[in-house]
Amino acid sequence: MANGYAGKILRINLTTQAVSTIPTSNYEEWLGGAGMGAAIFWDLCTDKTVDAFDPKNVCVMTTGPLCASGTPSCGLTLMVGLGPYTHPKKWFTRSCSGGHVGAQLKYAGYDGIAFEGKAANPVWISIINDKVEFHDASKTGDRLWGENAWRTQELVYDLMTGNHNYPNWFDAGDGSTLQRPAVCAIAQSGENLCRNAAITQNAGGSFSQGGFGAVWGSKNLKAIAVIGTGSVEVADPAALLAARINYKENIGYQMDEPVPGARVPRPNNNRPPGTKVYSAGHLVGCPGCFAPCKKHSSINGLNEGTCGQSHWYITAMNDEVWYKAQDLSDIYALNTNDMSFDDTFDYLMHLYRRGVLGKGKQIDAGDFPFEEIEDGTYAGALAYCEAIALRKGIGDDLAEGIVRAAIKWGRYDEDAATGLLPTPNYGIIYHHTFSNPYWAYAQLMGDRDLNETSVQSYPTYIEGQSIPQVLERWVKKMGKYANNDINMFDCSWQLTDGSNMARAKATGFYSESKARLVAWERYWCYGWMHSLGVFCKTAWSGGYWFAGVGPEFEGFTPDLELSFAEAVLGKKLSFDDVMDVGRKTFLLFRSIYAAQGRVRDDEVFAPWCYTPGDNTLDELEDPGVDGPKFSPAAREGEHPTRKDKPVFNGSTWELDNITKFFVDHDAFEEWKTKFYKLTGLSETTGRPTRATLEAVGMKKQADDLQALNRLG
Amino acid sequence: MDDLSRRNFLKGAGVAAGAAASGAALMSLTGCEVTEEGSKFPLTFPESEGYLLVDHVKCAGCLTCMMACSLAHYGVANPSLSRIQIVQNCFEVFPNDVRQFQCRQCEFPVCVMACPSGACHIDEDHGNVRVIDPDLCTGCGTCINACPQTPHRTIWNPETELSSKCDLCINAKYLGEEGGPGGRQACVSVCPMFAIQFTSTMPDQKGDAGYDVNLRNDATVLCNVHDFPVVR
Repeated sequence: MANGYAGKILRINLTTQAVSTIPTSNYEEWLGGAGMGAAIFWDLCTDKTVDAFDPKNVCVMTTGPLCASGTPSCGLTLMVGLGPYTHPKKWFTRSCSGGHVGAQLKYAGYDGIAFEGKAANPVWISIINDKVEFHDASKTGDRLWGENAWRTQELVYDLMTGNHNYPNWFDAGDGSTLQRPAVCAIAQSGENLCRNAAITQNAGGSFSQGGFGAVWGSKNLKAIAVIGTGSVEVADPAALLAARINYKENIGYQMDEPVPGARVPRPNNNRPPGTKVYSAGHLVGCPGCFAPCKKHSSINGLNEGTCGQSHWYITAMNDEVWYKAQDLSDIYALNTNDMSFDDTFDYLMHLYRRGVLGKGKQIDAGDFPFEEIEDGTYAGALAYCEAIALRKGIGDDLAEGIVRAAIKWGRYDEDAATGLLPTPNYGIIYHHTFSNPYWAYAQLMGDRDLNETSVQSYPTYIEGQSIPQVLERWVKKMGKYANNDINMFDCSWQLTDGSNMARAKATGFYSESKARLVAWERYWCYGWMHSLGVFCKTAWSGGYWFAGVGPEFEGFTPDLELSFAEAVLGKKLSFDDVMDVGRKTFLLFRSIYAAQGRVRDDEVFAPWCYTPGDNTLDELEDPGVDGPKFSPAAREGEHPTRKDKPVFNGSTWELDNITKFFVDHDAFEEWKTKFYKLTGLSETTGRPTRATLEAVGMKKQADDLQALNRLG
Repeated sequence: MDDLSRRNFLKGAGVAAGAAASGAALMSLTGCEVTEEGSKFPLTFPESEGYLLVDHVKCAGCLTCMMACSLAHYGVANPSLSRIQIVQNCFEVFPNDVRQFQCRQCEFPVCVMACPSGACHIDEDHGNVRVIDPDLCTGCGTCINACPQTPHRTIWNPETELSSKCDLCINAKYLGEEGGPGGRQACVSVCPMFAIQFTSTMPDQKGDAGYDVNLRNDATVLCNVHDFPVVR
């Protein structure tokens, strides 16, 4: 049936080197991506309590049904499995990567791959259509083990194609292609089981979050490479093509005729402060992209890093070092979120400046080049990356993630209390965590830095419109799970003196409305963004497409995406249909956490989040040697004069800020109860109940959890 | 064969073809021996009324044009079937990391001349575009071997076991609109970077410079390629 799916999931057992396939139709109820991957994981990982590095861990890579069809910006690939990164428990997690591997997998005939077991020796796997082969990646074989992620990919190009001379056509047996293999590779970081190790593909794509590079390393899997020459069949190609043309001509970016102020594709690449970056290059997009976010250069390396990755080395002395540092994170396949300026980087520098950390200091950092790093030299960036990836000196501690390092150094209790170590929960990094607590709450109910541009960027001020008007347009489009509740967006919180708590509980930060927003966000992420697509969050920025564009700010989501989905899948889906899948996927993730042993008390923030902060923004920018004492919102950089948060006082709305927000422990526990109740989880354990699971067709999960005595 | 004698030969082929104005007549040329004199078939080919221009400096390598091409012609997304090809190596530095390879609708279409079945012909009803009629194609692959470009722009379809080539969407049954010169081309219509353009003016046939051109303007440089200088 022509419905966008390739029809098969590749199942690779690394222990036995057995290769088989699973019909995708077994899992189409989950659409694809996160839902499909988690469902496959549920079935194949029979003991979900094992460690992430246990051979029984199953790592699943999935695409969505729209991937490689020609639908705009949905060619991403999802990876799920038990991750080694979070602390104190290592939760099941997911990571998403741009690049070509998803598209090549689809053209090779697969909707995903499940990796099971552990190879006896390092291997890499080539996939050319239906030909799947294991190769010796060891130093006595193809000599990939020990190589960095870029070098590995280049070596695999030649190994897989017999040193093929592009741009001549490569004969792939069943067909020919001019595409190079799509290679996903780990670097030394993955081989050395660094918990922040990524899997790199191309120059700048990677599965960074969660430490899947180390999972591959634990499985002795160095790389996979895919060439596909087959077709992705869609239900209505004419409608799909018409939708794509309409998209470009009437909706997409008119890049040669930009309207002043209009969004145009640009590198999602943060620049060094105060520098003028001027390097020859062009934009690079993943298959099907309509808003390329990567820049590819001719100077200073390749520079395909994006977003936070592009400015992890905040002290870089100039733009050349800045860009080369990005490349280092791809070359060594490191998750820069764990080593970046907002967290590890600042934390290390604070400890260094306070004389706690350094050569011969209380925490002996040996030859770790703090001076070079403080000066922002390339040598400093290189040494930093190498120390982690090769586990050299204190890099051996940092490779465990910053929280585990702080614990080993005896710093955790103090620094997690003051906020000097600002990991909000599960040892994961501070991002926009408290820009609005939905982000913090949602990631606590999940397993990773949320990092989803869903409702973060919703507009709260439109000239000539009242706040309720703006919010009503939002909730109207958000479907049944929003329940027309504009109070979801209320940012009322208890002030530092404890006042306003009643409002915060009624409609604000501890309200059922906020629980509704967090639930909606989870369903939207799991179902809409990461199962139907997998959509690129950079291209399909949630707030913008929902209600931030168009003459009346009517937005294009969800009708636009659904028009593509109908052309590909051959069936009409509603937004709520997809959100239903999102809810099921949320419950599936919650079931996996439950199977791992998660209970209500695991879902708590780090101590500093519950502590009122009294520092000013000046202190935030220049915290001095004693380090800052942050309230969560102050860390976010909320500015007293920048009032952009909608606040409801019971009768009227106004825009305000949440500068000194902190989490009230008891009120938040009450909120958790509201969230559990709203989403069908046990109020005492946070685990899915049988009634909830059976109501959405998840009896198997209910039975399995009951057998484990872990049903909610 | 020097340029002059080759030119004479192709012109000669064109006269012979023009006499019958059919693929069958062109087919008869393929058995001709190429001679240094090149005067056996002194004629010219009618120029195509359409060409594709690309700008590999601007191309983002998203393959959308390739998916659109195969969707338009076959109803499936398959880069291997696309008549325009993007070749990338992300480890090459800009601007050598991405190349676009489109059919040139050659002034002297070697593929047409080489085709033994008359399938590859000049479509006089549609602006003299060089096309392949799948009903006449025998799948011999001669046109693929004959294409002087690297990579060859005639495309092998392993599913039908026939050759194909860019027809500027004259026979793109899933395009939903008229293609060809004066109509729409799928690749041009979907390229998010505006890095493919249709022209009715024959590009310089020598080398690639006439086909791989600067399609950027000031707005592109300022807003899209973002501080990146125009390379040429």
